Order: sequence, then structure tokens, then C-alpha cells
Amino acid sequence: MRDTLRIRMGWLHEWVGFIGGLILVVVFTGGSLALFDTELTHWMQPELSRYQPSPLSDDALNRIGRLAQDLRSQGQNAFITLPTPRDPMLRVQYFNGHAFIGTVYNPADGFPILTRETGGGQLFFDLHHSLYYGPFWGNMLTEIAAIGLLVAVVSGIIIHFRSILTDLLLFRPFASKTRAWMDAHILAGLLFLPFMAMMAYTGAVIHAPRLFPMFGMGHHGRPGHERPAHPQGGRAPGNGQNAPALAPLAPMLHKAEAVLGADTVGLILFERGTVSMTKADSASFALSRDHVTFSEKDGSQIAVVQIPDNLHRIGGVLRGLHFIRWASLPMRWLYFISGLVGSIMMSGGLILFLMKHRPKKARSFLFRLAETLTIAVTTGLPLACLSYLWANRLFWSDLPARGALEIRTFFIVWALALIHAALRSFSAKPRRGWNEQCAVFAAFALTLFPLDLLTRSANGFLNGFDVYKSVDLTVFCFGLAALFIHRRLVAL
Amino acid sequence: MRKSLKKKHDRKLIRAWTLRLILGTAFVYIAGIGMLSLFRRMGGEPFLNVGFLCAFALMPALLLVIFSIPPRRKRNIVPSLALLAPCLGWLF
Repeated sequence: MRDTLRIRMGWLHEWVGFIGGLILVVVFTGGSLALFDTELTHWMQPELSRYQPSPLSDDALNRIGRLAQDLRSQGQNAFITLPTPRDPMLRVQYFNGHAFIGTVYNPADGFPILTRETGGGQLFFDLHHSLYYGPFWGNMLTEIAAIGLLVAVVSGIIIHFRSILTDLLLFRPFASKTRAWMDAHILAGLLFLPFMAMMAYTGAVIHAPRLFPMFGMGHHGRPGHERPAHPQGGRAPGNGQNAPALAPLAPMLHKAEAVLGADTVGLILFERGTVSMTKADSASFALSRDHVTFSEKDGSQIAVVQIPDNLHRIGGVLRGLHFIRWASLPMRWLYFISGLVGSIMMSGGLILFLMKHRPKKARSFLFRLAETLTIAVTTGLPLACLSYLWANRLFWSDLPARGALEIRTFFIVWALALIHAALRSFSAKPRRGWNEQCAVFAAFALTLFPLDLLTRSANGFLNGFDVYKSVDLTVFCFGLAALFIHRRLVAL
Repeated sequence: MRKSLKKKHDRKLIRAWTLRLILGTAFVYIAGIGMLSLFRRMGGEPFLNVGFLCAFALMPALLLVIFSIPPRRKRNIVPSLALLAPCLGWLF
């Protein structure tokens, strides 16, 4: 081995890519699914399929305001999310440490809709930004992985710099296995390079204080600095009778809309005797969280808080670019496909790493461990995601703590996939590990549509292409792809 | 070169690169802290956003520069960095 720039960069790309890739495949897969977190939550609450979207009424809002106030007096940090085109329901939610969960209300009359308890699509959001490992250590890991991705991208460009144009045009799926994987890896990497670099960079900057806690203004999730359960100073939790009467929310909403713009308010937050009518994340490109605060007692306007200057707007622009909550459906799909291609490209990189080292190190413990981990993230993770959807429909809807049980199912299936991968990797036929997991994924993905039909009201089934059919069809397509890969692996 | 000698040489190279990666990562983190301190001193807390933007562009670039420096016996730094510069430019 000679010590040249390309060989050095190749080594850096290989190792940073492999170690970072194991985390980044999870981050990209979770992030792609989190783009449709609201829609997935909707799919996971099939009771909502019976309800038609209706406009928000003042009476309903005032009623929900009183309910939220009661919850706050019982010690919950409850807040209200207003109906949007993506989620046309009124929700009273609180943060449980991993996700925002709560009760759904009809925006027309403010009466509760009995839905099953679920973490919904927010599991993927948590998995994306902190690997479900807490806001401090989990975030720090994903931050380091994002920098690793930037390093791997530039070192990859340096390796292929001489033939970058030919690599853009060449894809030889029927050449040797290594060549075909390499072509796919390079082609996907080059075509989606701007997207991946942008996502890694904006994601790293958004959570930068996690990596540099000494420069953070807040506690940023450091262990031992968690928020108290009830931030309203001095008020005794659990004593609902002491809560002061809340002024009606509807007049406050109308006043806030006069300031921030019609249909732009998305959140109603309560803190220290004030009510904040906060701009929805989808209202503008830059995520600003502009809000108008009112007195809780008499509803009088206290202040209008807006981003003071462009320097403060930078963070909002980066969040807008990364979260794309402002985007229309086609744009969201474009991000979803780009994220999936990124995930596939990184999975391809992991497979190439194994292909390179297999001839010399196939029997070594570390190689088998690397193969186990690769199988667990490339095929085990999609299997776990699918099991989460299945668990949502198979657990009966009034099961206590069923949201936590669904999440537990996700991690149990992922752990089983890891054990299965280890058993196969440490045996004589490691390829069977990939093959069997692909077959199981295909079987469960192709039958999700019948499961959906059996476990949800058929009312309005022929009404059009709704969120339920979209999820079913997308998973069906993934199932077909897994079946194709399974057939190819059997033929090899 | 005999096979055993080649293996020895390869291992030595990999050890050197690993050391360079670990030390480079530590150096890059310290450089990031230095840059953020500079921004805080120059413009206060609001300027930190710009500092984070610069630090996250600097850190991977600096690590690659550290990895581009050739070994002591053939120190022709210019051609190495000449290839790195357009790649970084293309990305950022």
C-alpha cells in the first residue's frame, strides 16, 4: 500500500463511512419517515377515518382552553395544536420525554374523539434526531455522525475526482457484483450530493449546542437539567380548584391573527400566567415561532414577539430548510425520496465495505460483527418500522399504555433482527441473514393493506386517495422491492 | 517486497493514519471551540449562529486538510492541497 493522497482519502472514506454509516442509515431512514410524521400518526389512529375535516369554531376553542387549563393545574405541561390542512383535528398535547402525545378533539364542537393511544410518527422523529437515546447523548452521536458524513462526502469526491463525469453517466447493474454496487453507490452519492450535504450541514448546525454545550444558552437536555413537571411557579399541582379561570381563547386567537396573519397561528402555549398564540411552523419558510402573548386572566394583549433581525433569522432559515414544514406535498415527497436514496446509498457503502474485506477477513470476529450490525441497520430497521405499524393495528385499542407497548415492540423486533443477523453472520452462510429478513419484510409489507382494511372502518373507503391508502400503497411498493431483492439473493 | 514486510509496512501506515484521525479530530474540535469563542467575543450571543455555521464548515474541512498533509519524507504539500481545494469549493 502506497501513501498517496487518494489511498489515504480512500481509507478515511472507508472507515469514517462505515462507522458513521451505521448511525447515518438509522438517521436518514428515521428522518425520511419523520417527514410524514403527522400522516403516520393519522394512519395509526384509524378512528379518525370516520371524521370529515370541519372548520374550527370559537365555542370548541374556548372549551378546549378550559380543558387544557385543567390539565395544567393537574401538573401537565399541556398545550393546544390548532387544525391544519395536514392534521385537521384539534389536539391537547404534552411532551412525555420522547414525543408529543395527547387527546384529539373535534374542531367543530370541541368534543373528544376516542382514538387509540399511540406515539405515532413521532417515534421516527425521535429516532432521527437522537436515536431514541435522549436529547443530550443521542443528539451528540447524530451530530458527530453528521460531521462524519461531510468528511465522507468530500473524501469520496477526492477519490473519484478524476472520473467524476463518467461516474455520473455509468451504471452497470449486470457487471460484477462489486462493480454494480459501486456504480449505484457513486451515482446515488453524486446525484443526491447537494441534498445530503445540505441535510448534514443544517442538521449539525441546528443542534450545534449539543456538541458545544459550553456555548449553549439553555441546558440542552443535559442529564440532571430536565424541566420541572409544572413550570408555573408556586401553583400546587393536583389541585384543580385553585386554577384561575382562563379568559376565552377565541378572541385572543382573532387578535393574534390580526397581528400575525389569517390562518397562521398553529400553537397555543401557556406559561406563567400568559397565553402565547404562536405562529405555526408551516406558516413561513423560516421557522420563526413568532407569537402574541395575552394575559391568562382577562385576555388582554401583553406583547408581540417577533424575530428582531436577520442574524436571529439564520437559525429559523436553517430549521425551515431541514424540517420543511412549510412545504407542499410534492416537495415533501421529493425530500422523502432523496432521504431514502441517501439511506440506500449509505447501505450500499456498508455492503461495499463488507465485500472488500470478506475475501481476507471473512472468518474473523470483527468482520462478522460488522456484518451483523450492517444487516441489523439495513434490513432489521425497516422490519422494526413495519412491526410498529402492525403492532398499532393488532394491539386492542383500550390497552393501558399501548403507546409505550408499540414502541417496545419496535425495539424488540429490532433486537430480534440483530440476534438473527448475528446467528447467520457467525454461521457458514451469512447471506441467508439478508435473505430471510428481506423475505419477512416483504411478507408483512405486502399484507399491510389487508390488515388496514380489516382493522379500520370501511366508511368512506371509496371516497378518494386518502392518507391510509397512501401509507398502504407506499409500504406495498417497499414490499415489492424487498421481494425483488429476495428473489435476486436466492438466484445468486 | 516480501509478503511479511509488505504486511508490516501496511500496518504501520494504518497505525499512522488512525493516529492522525484521532489527533485530527481532537484538534478540529478545539479549533471549533476557538472559532465559536472568537465569534462570541466579536458579536455576542446573536453572532453565535454565524459562528456555528462557520465552525461546522471549518471542522470537516480542517480534518481533510490534516489528512491531506503528506508524510514527512515526501513533503510536497502543494499538489495535495491543490486537489483538496476544488473539492471543498465544489461542496461549500
